[in-house]
Amino acid sequence: MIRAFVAGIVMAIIAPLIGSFLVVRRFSLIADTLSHIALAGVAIGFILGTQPLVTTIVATTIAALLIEQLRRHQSIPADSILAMLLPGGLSLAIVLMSLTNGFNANLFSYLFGSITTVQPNEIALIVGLGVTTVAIVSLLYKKLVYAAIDEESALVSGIPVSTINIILIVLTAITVSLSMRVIGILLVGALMVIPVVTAMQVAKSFFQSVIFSVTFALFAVTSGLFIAYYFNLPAGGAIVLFSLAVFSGIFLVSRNR
Amino acid sequence: MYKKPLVSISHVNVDRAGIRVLENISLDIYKGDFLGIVGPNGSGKTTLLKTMLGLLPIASGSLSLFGKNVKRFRDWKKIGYVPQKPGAVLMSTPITVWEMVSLGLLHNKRFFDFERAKDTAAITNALEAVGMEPLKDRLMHQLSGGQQQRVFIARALVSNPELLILDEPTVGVDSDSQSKFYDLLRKLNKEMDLTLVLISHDIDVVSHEVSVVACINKTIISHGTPKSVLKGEVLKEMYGDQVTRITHNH
Repeated sequence: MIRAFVAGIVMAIIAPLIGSFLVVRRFSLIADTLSHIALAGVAIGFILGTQPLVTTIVATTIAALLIEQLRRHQSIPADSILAMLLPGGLSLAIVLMSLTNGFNANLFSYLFGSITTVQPNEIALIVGLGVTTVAIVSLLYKKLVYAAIDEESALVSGIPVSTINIILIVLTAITVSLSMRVIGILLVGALMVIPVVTAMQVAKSFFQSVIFSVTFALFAVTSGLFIAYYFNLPAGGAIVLFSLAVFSGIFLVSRNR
Repeated sequence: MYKKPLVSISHVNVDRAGIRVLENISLDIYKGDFLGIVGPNGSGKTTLLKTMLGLLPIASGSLSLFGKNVKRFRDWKKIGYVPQKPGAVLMSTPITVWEMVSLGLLHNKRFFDFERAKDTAAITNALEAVGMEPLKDRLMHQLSGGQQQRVFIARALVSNPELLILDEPTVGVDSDSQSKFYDLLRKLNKEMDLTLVLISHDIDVVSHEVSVVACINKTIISHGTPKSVLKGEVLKEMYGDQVTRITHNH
């Protein structure tokens, strides 16, 4: 339970942090695409007998770089790229899973999250990558904002937009991989999007939107984990339902103001 | 006295998807110019602008910015760019006027760098120059089209550029705001000695506001003062035989 909370808090901080830039770019569905590829990464980890979190990070990072490369050339629309890779990743996962024995017993927890899936040897990696993600976003914050809001003007200003985009997409892959442990593959995207959209209803600046989105995510994750622990529910489902409840409340209050 | 141009374009050809979209473009822009680039839709105005900014490659010819080949030019703080229109992103993103203008300082910074006290002064000065300082905490999507364009100009001005390039800046802006907008551009050109390049489809407005006009339809058809350039035969060559020029007040 403690490990789940530590992982959950890391995830609640970095998911909306990265999600803030993805939502602005209208690229929210990339999290769902990468999460389906993450499942293939887990299957590879089991086949190879290695740490699934490591193979997941590698698989999602490679996929993320491929997506960015295809998007840059603009010969295929961004949403079509995601529409191809999402079922592609899931199909690869299904085929690989059929080659492993005993994996199916844990499938439910990988798909929907569980407070027991976080292993002791994973906590250091999760916290380390989480701190690294926060540090990179803090140092590159304004460049990430500029590239998200107005890529062309950012290019004219001499900002290395290609490098910034690659950094963002790799951080997205890492965030999806880390978040899978607690919230589950099918619901990872929700934690990167719902708190951000909620925050945008009430924020008075972009920076405030980022801070609010992390706050809402922390509330949803801690509340969801408590409910999941005491009522033996899937953690991911509980967290997302809390997120949606917060969004509903904020939306109604902001509309009535 | 020989003046070196800030922008020198010599026999430039530009291709997109295998089609030649700009042909044999030669154009020099000097310090203090207020250049208007006009032409019909699809004439290559925006393509020329993007080529000048190094966003599109040239197939042949040469293009230099401040005496340096555009491929090797790195001093982007000398050039301010005002894009055509904000787009859908701004409509749903909670970004303030101050945050938007502060982005214009990023090319002054090393890869990892933070906002300093002198940056605050620069942002305030830029907002005051465009008359938007009182609205610095307002969200961008709460502003009118004309106000948003002023903020984009402030973002372009905050790094003290020598050249300001504006792409159809008054699209979707009401006529009263347009009038104030051109007053501002005149002030920037005359009082701050800022060189301006303005792309517009509105020939009449351009002819009253700018000091130099370049008429383009895949190639430069005519280049010079508005009076010498915007004549019937030039307009016919740009727009075809059916063109009728109607003068209006903006």
